[in-house]
This record gives sequence, structure tokens and C-alpha cells, in this order.
Amino acid sequence: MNMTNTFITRWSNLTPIGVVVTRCEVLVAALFLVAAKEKLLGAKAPELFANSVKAFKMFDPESGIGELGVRFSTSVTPWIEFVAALLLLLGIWSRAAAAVLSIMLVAFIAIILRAINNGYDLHCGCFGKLSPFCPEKVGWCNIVQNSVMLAGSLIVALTPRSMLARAARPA
Amino acid sequence: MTQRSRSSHARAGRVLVQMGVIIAVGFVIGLADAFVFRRVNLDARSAPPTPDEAIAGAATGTRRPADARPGTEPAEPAPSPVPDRAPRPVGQPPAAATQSAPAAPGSFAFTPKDKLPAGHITVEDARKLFDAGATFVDSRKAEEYSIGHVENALRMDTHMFKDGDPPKLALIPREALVVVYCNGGHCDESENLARLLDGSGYKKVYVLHDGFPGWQAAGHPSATGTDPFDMNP
Repeated sequence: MNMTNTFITRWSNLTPIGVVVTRCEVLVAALFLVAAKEKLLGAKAPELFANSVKAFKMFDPESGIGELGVRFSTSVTPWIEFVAALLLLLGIWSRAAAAVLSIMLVAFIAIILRAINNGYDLHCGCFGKLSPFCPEKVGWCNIVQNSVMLAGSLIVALTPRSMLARAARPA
Repeated sequence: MTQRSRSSHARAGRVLVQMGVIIAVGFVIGLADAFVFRRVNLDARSAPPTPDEAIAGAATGTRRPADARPGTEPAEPAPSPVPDRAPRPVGQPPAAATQSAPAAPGSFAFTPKDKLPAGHITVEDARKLFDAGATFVDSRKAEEYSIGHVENALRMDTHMFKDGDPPKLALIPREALVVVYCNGGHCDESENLARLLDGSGYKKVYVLHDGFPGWQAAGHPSATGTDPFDMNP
């Protein structure tokens, strides 16, 4: 009951700041849910994502640690994206979920910058097969896309909940 | 410490704990998924025989229909495990076959044989395999393929394997010699596709290390137009 009230308050009685923050929440959550779905669903989806991770050459392929790194990031990244995006969409632990996604976006931006700097010719794999906003080959468009998403998630992460709903504001 | 700063510290602490929980939950599910439920195969693909050995061993022939290559006559008729190409869809122009003009000497830096990773081949070896009737697979995007590709190459990309073996694999017999290429250099798509093909039972898969730019620079047969078998462009 309490959770339902919170939900209704959050979505129906918003301050202008609340409107912006909730839109950012929904946008960032939806994008990350699509990204996670593309990386997780499908018999060989994890393997395809592993290929994308390997293509960024973040880990030394000759070392055992390199393979472990690829396996680890391949398996864990989409699930963290999924859990955080789902919580963000449901409005549960929003600031923490947005903070986690912000950290991931900073890491993605750094990895893409390194790939651009090294002249790698590869596909982003950010949204699996989909490339909703950018050409398939990784480039500056992906930096802009991730920066916009980072701005959205930072807005959510840094906005105190008391600023969202009129009902929650002191009289 | 004031009441307000104490409460903001407590709030920040709570958010940090929640972040830890989110990451931990993702970790546990992800590791269980990867190591228990859907083990991701990251093993290196099996090393194929050298191109010369493969050509010598491919007595059964993997030659495509001779009429698919204007100007080339097969040395002897050989059965084709690659099915004859189906008629092109109505309204689709045929791919134009061309003999690429060789690049001026020195304008393309071909990778020497001794610098190649396992399973990768030079343009020269790829041409030998081409003449032996190997199936060439272009792992680049449809737009790049339509601008120019190795003559008779099929187009496939790794995402076609997302839900298992794509229908296009029916066009390539498991024992066929297969050469996969992309744009050479830092392009990894061909190696990734070669690994997927290896996992699907193809054991004579080679990666043309210098990719289509190398093939084109050597003046080997290329064509333009879309792949008529492209069901998932």
C-alpha cells in the first residue's frame, strides 16, 4: 500500500524538476533495458557480446586473466544493466541505480574513446545488433549518445527525492 | 557535525549500500548465467590445415558453378557441394563482376605471411583458395558489400547467429573451404565470424587478413550489388 502511494505520488504529482527527472529515469531505464535484452536474449547472444568485448582489446588475449576478464565482463555487465534499469523504471533505489548506470556509462565512454584513438574498426555492440542512434561502426556518435545518457542518469542520481513530488515538499 | 550534514551522510551511505547491492545482484546472476546456465565458449577456434594442404585434400572440389564467374573456365568439371545460386529476386539487378585494377605497387601494405595470426591467410593464398572453389564469406555490412565484394561471396554477419545457425549456412557444406573477410587491419568481424563458423562445424575456415581492401588492391575478381541470398539484410 505504502509502495503504491509512493508510486502514485512520484508519477502524478510532480514538480517541474520531478517531470524532468522522471523522464530521464524512464529514458535511461528503457535504453538500458533494450541494451541488456539484446545482450542476453538469444542462444548465442552472450557469445556475440563476448566477441564485441574482445574486439575492444581491453584484455591481453594471450593471458589467462585476459580470457577471464572477457568472460567476466561479458557475463556481468548486461545483468547489472538489467537490474539497475529495472529498479530505475520501478522507482526503487532510483538514485543508486542511476549512479551505477552513470559509472558504467563513464567506463563505456572511456573504452570507446580508446578504441577511436587506436583506430579500431569495430561495431559498438552497445545495443547488440541494434544501432538506434548511431552508425554501426564505433565512433564519435557513440560518445555523444553515451554522454546524453550519462547526463540523464546523473540528473537522476544527483536530484534529491524531496524535489520530485509536491506532496513530499514541506508546506 | 550538524544534524543536516549527519543526515546527508547517512543518505549518501544508504545510496552507496544500495549501489553495492545492485552490483552484487548483477554479479551473482551474471556469473550463474555464464558459468552454470549458458557457458560462453571463448575457446580459440581449431587451426585449419594450411591452404595448400586444404586445396590438395579438397579433391571433391568446392568449386562454384563456372558460369558464375565470367571468364574463368574450370580446369576439370568438379561436383559442387555449394548449391547453384537460386534465381535472383525479380527486379533485382545482377551483381556486376569486375576484375579490380591492381593498385600501384607499394600503395597497399600487404601483411607478410610470417606476421599472420593462426588461421589467417595472405591475399595470395586466398586467391589460390578462390581458384580452388572456396566459399568466400563477406562479414561486412550489406551497404559495404553492395559497393564491392569478392566475386560470388556470400554475406553474413555475426548477429545472424544470435538465435543459432542462420539458414544461410545451408548453402555451405560443412567440409567446404571457407574464407571469411572484412576490411582488414583492426577489423575483427571476420575473426568473430570464423569462430562462430568453427563452432557450427566448419573446420577449414580461413580469415583473409588484409580483407577486401587487400583483395581489391591485388586486382582479384570483385563484384558489386546485393547478395541475393540476403534474407536478413
